[in-house]
Amino acid sequence: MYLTKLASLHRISPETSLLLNALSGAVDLVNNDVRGKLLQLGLGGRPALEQQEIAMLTERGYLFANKGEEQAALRRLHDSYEKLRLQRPLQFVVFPTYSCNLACTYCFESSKLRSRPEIMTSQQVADLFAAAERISSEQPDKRCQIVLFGGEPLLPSTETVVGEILSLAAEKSLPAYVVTNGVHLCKFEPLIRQHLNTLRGAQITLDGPQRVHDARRKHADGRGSFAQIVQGVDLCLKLGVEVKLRVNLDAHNLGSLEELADVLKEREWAGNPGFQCLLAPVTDHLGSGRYPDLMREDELVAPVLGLWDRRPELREMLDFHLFRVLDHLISVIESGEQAWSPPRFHYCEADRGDTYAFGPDGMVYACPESVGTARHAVGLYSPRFKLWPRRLQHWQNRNVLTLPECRDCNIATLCGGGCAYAALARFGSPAHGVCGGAPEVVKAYVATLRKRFEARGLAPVA
Amino acid sequence: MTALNKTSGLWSARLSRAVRQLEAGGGSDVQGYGPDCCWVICNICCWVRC
Repeated sequence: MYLTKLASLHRISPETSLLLNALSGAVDLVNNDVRGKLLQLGLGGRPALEQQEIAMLTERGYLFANKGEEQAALRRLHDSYEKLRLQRPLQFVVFPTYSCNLACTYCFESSKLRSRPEIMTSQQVADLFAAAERISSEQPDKRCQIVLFGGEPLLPSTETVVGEILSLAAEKSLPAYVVTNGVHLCKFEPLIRQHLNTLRGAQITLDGPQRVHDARRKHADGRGSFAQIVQGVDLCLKLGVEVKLRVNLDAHNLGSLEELADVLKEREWAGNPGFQCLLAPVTDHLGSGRYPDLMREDELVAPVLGLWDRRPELREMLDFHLFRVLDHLISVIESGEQAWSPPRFHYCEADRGDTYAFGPDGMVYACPESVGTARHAVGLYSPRFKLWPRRLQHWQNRNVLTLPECRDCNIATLCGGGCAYAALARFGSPAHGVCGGAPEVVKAYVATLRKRFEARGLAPVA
Repeated sequence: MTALNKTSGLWSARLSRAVRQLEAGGGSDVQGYGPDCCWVICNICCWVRC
């Protein structure tokens, strides 16, 4: 009898533990008797498990005849995952420029990159669409989409090139999205109107009510950006362009989420089917330590869950996609499995070969965070197209089955191996797992469960 | 031992069902699966339910 290495026990109370299976996805509550037996089994012992316990643990994917069977189950799971992966679109992320009109207090991009003046040329736009066509021809069943990113893609200086990109996207029937700070959205109204069939959505960042937002997302001269952004969101919603409002979260704005929710209600964004608000922790993948208000993800768990418990209506309004490591646990425990979260063999789309980022430097990158540094590029697209397979493989073969650091981790499929760009910065190659505090996030969540279960009157474990 | 999720909803069962649905042209488990960016918030990938 063999207990999967992907099982883990987390104590909720003196009597009860959460038993988590990162191979089957099972989540169970066990008493101290079963806990003790599982710990013995994990250490190679032979505890006296009752037949009923063996049957249930086997059915729930904890017990195997031997390690070989466990590994075969993991491979089968990965094979199914890979088949479904083909469902996801190929993303061509286009950087019309690396420069930006804001100087946000927590920006992850270096000021050197943000001040680079180059703007993508018409020839580069043509070359990138030709490159995209060659890349997609090798995966003919996949959908493709264009994502405008930066820097800031919507600047007065980029209007012409953005128009060219949207026109070519329209010509090739590719949907387009834009990730923007939203400052110049209203200036782009004629272009947006012209491309309503192509431009499907905008991710716009708003970090709180005006006084909070303006203190962190400001122009170089210190002026705030709230008023312009709010008008831009209104415009998109009026025109039917879907808005994902992103809130970058840290110690500075954590306390203002309720006020932000009031803004969403006042402006009648909340409840609009084309609007969604997403919380995202500010991250420092490079570990620069420059930003003092940064909060680790595990530090955000209790305050955010506390807010949702106190104001349940905000859970709908401020979306629950904050803690990626907790996606599965949250889908089981908080959402009653209405939404399901599959195993995470990869950390993000950069690891799966689904993303190609095109910079105004003529280079192709696998990860939109790694742009602007030639040694991180995986190829070039202008003046000629060439991908470098060895560099590309470092990204595309990266998953929890190939990363040495993840092989013995009992929550590997909840985490996906951590950020490849952080691995690149730390180890010089994306081919390493970067823990990123995943076990601490699970621990922080489990620490909230006793109270939450009691509040729900969940029966004690038999 | 108290199960918090159904055995029929475990990953292997759900992914196998989703693959069968995919081969048959679609279904609820495939939709539930969606693009990975549904679950990942990095700097661009929050096109939830895109």
